[in-house]
Amino acid sequence: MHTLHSTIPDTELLNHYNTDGDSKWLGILLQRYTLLLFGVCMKYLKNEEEAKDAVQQVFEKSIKELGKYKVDYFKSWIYMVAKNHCLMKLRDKGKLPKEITERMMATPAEENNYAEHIEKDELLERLSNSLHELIPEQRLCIEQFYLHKKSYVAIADETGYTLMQVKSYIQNGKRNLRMLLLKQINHER
Amino acid sequence: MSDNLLDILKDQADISEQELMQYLKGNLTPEERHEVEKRLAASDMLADAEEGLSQLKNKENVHTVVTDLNKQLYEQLQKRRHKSKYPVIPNQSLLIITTFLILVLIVIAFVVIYKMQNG
Repeated sequence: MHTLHSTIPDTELLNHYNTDGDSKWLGILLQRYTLLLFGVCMKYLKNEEEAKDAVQQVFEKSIKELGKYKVDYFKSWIYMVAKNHCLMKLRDKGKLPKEITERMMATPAEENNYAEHIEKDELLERLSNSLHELIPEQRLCIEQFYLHKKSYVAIADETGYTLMQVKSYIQNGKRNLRMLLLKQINHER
Repeated sequence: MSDNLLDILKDQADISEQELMQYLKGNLTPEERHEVEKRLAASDMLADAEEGLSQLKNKENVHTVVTDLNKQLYEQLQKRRHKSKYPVIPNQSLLIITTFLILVLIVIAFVVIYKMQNG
């Protein structure tokens, strides 16, 4: 079943489900994300059994919710359902302060299509200029990763940072660069 | 400046289960690792999933876990199908008794009012 429908996009599977109400479409769709959902739940709950239970509960919630309203970006939606579910569990256990949960549970920002506003060459120039505004660790990891095509392990070996630090510098540096770019665009409007 | 820098702006990426597992088991070349990592860096869900799966002590077990979860999902969906095929019917005898009692009350009220009006 899974292999047969592997080329059907998520949106099409959702449309089929909304049209004929046959839950087999939901089955195909949700199975695509089982491994990723298990990984996401493992990251937050740090326990295999709890993560498995959480995935089951996320499936249950998705089955209930998907018939009620339209979901445009299934992957982002199911990710938020899983993440929020885990954060609520952590909060119930007292492992996470309320204010942090609420901040982390915020819906992800809208995707920004930078290409709509700026030409490619200009975008590249702005990005390279903004690189200098990052802290040195972030700039170094971003340059090694995106420009020199080095893997996380290779960057960690060369810089002496831990693997987690490398990942974090890249993720945060990336986020900061996007924010800097967006700030420039908004400023010019 | 290299076009590669534009990859920073990508916020959508996909990866197959097989690729992700090969990455986690360390079975890829440095170039392949970098390609996978570029996709991980472009998607919060992929990055979180990789971080979570990398914490597993026995990565060989992942396939069994996924198979079990999919089996449970199938059962959940089967139950749902069964429910929608055989919707819950409200207790019919309770419905009949209630209707009967309301009718009796209406008749009694009618008789009382009739007698009061006609002395």
